[in-house]
Amino acid sequence: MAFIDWVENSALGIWMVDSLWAYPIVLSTHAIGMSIVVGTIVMLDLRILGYAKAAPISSFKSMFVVTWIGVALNFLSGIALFCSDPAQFLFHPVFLTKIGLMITGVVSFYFLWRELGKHDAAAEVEIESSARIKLLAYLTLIIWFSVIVAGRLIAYVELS
Amino acid sequence: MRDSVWMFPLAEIFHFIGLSLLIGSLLVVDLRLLGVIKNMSYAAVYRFLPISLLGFGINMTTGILFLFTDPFRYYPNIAFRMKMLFILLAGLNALWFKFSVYPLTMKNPEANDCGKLAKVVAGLSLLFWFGVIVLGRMIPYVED
Repeated sequence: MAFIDWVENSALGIWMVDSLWAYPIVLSTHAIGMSIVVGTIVMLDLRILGYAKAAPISSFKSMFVVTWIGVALNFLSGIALFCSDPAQFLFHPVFLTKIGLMITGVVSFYFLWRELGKHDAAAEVEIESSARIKLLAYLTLIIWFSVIVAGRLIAYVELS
Repeated sequence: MRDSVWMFPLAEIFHFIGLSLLIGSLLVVDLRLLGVIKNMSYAAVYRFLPISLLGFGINMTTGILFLFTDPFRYYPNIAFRMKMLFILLAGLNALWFKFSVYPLTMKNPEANDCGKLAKVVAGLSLLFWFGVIVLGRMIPYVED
């Protein structure tokens, strides 16, 4: 398939396969990014759903730059990982499920981030009572745990 | 562990969930100590530490399960040994935090800047734990 050949023969594709350290470095970056994205989002979600009520939800806003850095790290490392074996991943049902969940997770987090941004620090009561924010918190919580599950299961589903 | 085909992937899934809980909760605490997160009383911030302990507990349990699946694989592995060393260093840093930074910040829980010591301990915490993640990923790569 032309697309697969193109990816495999790209500079990134070749580097990932030929270089001794490319794959471990990219994999490490992906693990770090994952811990940042899932970690920060889960902490935010736990707070929104009632844990550690003494912590103002508004104060989490300055943490989100770290979350977005994690998303960027994983987007880039994810592309590199894909390029290391496009033939395996392109039609892999578990991988495609993970990507679908991940995109949904990023979009959901974006909406949650935007929704929180509409309230300033003085509006804690509004944030606490917002059904939309609570719903987005449940959604991102479930989705991001699912992304981890899907990610781990990729290796366990063999393609012919 | 070896008899059930699902035990290893299940343990891996929980190992990754545990590390995300650990890193996420420590990011809240460390980013606060570093002054990136502001306007959050330390009394509230430290409510995230039990989550760190939960994450660590999940990972210690699943980690021990991994050891039982293949006892002779891990001991000679240099990445595994260094990972254990980094966990020890992170633990020592946590003790240092407990006896120095924790009482310091609780004296003035609303302060946004807690001085250099707090920042050093927070920075080391993140360095050691991200190091643990990287070394964990390296375990299969340094084997023969």
